[in-house]
Amino acid sequence: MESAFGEARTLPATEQAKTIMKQLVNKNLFADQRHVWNLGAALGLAMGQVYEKGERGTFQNINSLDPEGIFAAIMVGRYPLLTPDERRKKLVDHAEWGIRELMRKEQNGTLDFSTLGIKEIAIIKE
Amino acid sequence: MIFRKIKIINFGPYVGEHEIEFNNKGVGIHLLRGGTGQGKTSIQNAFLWALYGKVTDRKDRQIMPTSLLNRKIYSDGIYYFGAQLFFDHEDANWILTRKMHAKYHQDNKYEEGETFELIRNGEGKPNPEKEIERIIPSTISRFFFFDGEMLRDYEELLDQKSTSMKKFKDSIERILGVPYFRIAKNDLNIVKKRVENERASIIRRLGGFEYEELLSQFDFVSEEIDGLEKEITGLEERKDQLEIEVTGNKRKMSDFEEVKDNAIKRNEIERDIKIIDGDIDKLNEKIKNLNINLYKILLSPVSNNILGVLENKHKEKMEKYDKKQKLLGRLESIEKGIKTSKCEYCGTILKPEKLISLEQEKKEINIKISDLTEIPEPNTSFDLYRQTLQRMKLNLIDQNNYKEIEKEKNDKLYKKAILTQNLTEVKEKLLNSDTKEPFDLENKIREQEIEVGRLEGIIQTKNSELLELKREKSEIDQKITSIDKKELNILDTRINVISSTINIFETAINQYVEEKRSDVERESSEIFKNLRSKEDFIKLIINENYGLGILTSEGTILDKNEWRSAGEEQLVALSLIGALNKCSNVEAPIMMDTPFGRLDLKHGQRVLSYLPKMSKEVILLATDREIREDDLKEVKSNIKTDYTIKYISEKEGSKISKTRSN
Repeated sequence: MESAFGEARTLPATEQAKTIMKQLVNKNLFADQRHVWNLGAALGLAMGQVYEKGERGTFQNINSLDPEGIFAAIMVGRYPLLTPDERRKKLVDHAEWGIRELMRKEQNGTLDFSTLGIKEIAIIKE
Repeated sequence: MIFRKIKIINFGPYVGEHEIEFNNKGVGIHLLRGGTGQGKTSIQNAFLWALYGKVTDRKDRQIMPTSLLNRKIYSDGIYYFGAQLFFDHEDANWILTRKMHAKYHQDNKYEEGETFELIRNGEGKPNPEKEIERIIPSTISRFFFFDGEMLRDYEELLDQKSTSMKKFKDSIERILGVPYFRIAKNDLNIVKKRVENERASIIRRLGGFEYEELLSQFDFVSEEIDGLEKEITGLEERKDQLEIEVTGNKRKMSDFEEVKDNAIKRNEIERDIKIIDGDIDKLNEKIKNLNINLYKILLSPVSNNILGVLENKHKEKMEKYDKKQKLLGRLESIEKGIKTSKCEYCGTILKPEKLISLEQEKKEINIKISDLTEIPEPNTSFDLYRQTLQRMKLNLIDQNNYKEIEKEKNDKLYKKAILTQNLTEVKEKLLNSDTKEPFDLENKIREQEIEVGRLEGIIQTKNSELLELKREKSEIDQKITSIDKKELNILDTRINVISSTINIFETAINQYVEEKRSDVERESSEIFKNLRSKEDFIKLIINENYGLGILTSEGTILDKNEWRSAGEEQLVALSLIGALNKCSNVEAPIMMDTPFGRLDLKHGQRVLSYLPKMSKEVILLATDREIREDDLKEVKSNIKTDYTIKYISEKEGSKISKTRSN
């Protein structure tokens, strides 16, 4: 099977994103930082937004973050022409944006899980 | 008795000498105004202390001399204070002076250095204490000098079966003149005893073993009775003391009642908040569990296009694979033809030109195969990705679940917010309160009540023994009286006459008490009618303990427990006091401290308007909150004196000055 992310085994994150993930877990909204990362990455992908700045350090194993291979499938389908490394970086960029967006919403009181994604996607479609 | 003036020296918050003169020769209403803690109650205490040499606080504890001396004066090393009352009574001028001067600041030293003198029309009276007791007995002073805040306690006292109640009832009867008859009855008893002793000595004189034996038995039983009576008195005193303590503790307990209720309330709220916190934690767990898969919902619309892309990619890969497979089959066929120089299908020998053409075709096919990748197996990874996304779309969570959980969570948070607010309020109320104390006091009261019950049991047994001894004594007495002697017969007749007279007195006392009680009932009803704004009552009903109930127009008697408010209880108590003053044989001024504390404006006004009818002289110690200028208009002509008391500083103490009119 063609690997979406090549030989890489881990996904990196910026220190700021790690801090945010930790804070959202401490706020009792998520059980684990992986779940914040997954939701952030999905939000970034859904909104088509990326955050490319910042130095990234090792965060977690790909298999831990995407055990079902859903992100791999999405990334291959969405970015078929990119190399695995480029694709991996792109996913991380989406996640970096999404994680920041979750924190922004939490801070201004608009983080509503029951509508998250619905409004945003509707706006994009318009 | 009408007070004309009071002078106080270094008493309570007053530094040095101060005086208050009551205008209009003391007749009318005299207003002493001042906020809380300015020194009003100390004025009343000065009156009581001057009269009786003793004052108590609101909890009925004696205020010792060391606490009566002004603090500033004490710090200056001066141990001297006093009060002087100027009053008219029985058409004479009286001056009463009480002073305490001590070498050391100790209670006993003050008592040793006490001077007390009473002057009537310029002449000293030899026994001032007795004279004051005659003019205004200390036992009834509470009906003339009273604290509005304590009025309720009077009715409280009448509701109890304790010594305090007995004393209180006695003081009511004393104000009504009942004791004079009782004293007469006791005097008759003394006379009877004397005649009985005379009779006994005659029997002794008459001699004879039988008499001696009977007399010795009589004496023995009498001594037994005396001993037993003393024992019972001791037990009763112990019981009474305990009952006083129970009453005090119950009063204290009623102060604590609110603390206790709030402590229970606080615990209940804290428990409820804990339960809600637990529920919120469970709901947060549910949200966190949903959040594990929420990203899939967001990826679902993203995957819609991607599924098509992946499917096309897969088709593309499969088409390439099929094409490659076909080319490989053709290549095999060509290679076989070249090798055998025969047609694979018909076996015809192939010509050299055909073989060259096949070689050319083989070459071209190999190039094409090479272009279609070198992978022997078909590439199915796109299909696998597609399947992954399809599986994801089939197992999406319902985002509406969040709404239900959030709604439930918001409800819980709202409840918690209300409870937290309540908790803050309760905690504020409990600030500086010892929440354990009410429970300890409750236990103490329970123990004391058990002890009272035990003592009552012993007293009951002892009284039965006493009754038996008295019966025995009566039998011996009958035997003695059966001895036929002329002298004895005369004495017996005297004894019988005295006994009958005592019985007549007993009946008369009861009748007198009944009449007086009925007078008090009538007078108190009249006063109550004047004071109360509601008119749905007929009169006040008095019981044998002088406790008052309200007889409504519906015929219901509302007793103390059914009175609706503290203010209403205060009105009933005030009516009782007013009635007692009217029915009493003692004429004295009324001095009220904080009289309207528990009354609303309307009732405060009514009481104020009624005051001139209560006594010739009324001295009011009131806060400005209790008395407004508007309320005074109606009684303005009756207000003869108006002073304001103000606490300046520890150095200067409280000052008394005439109230400036606005």
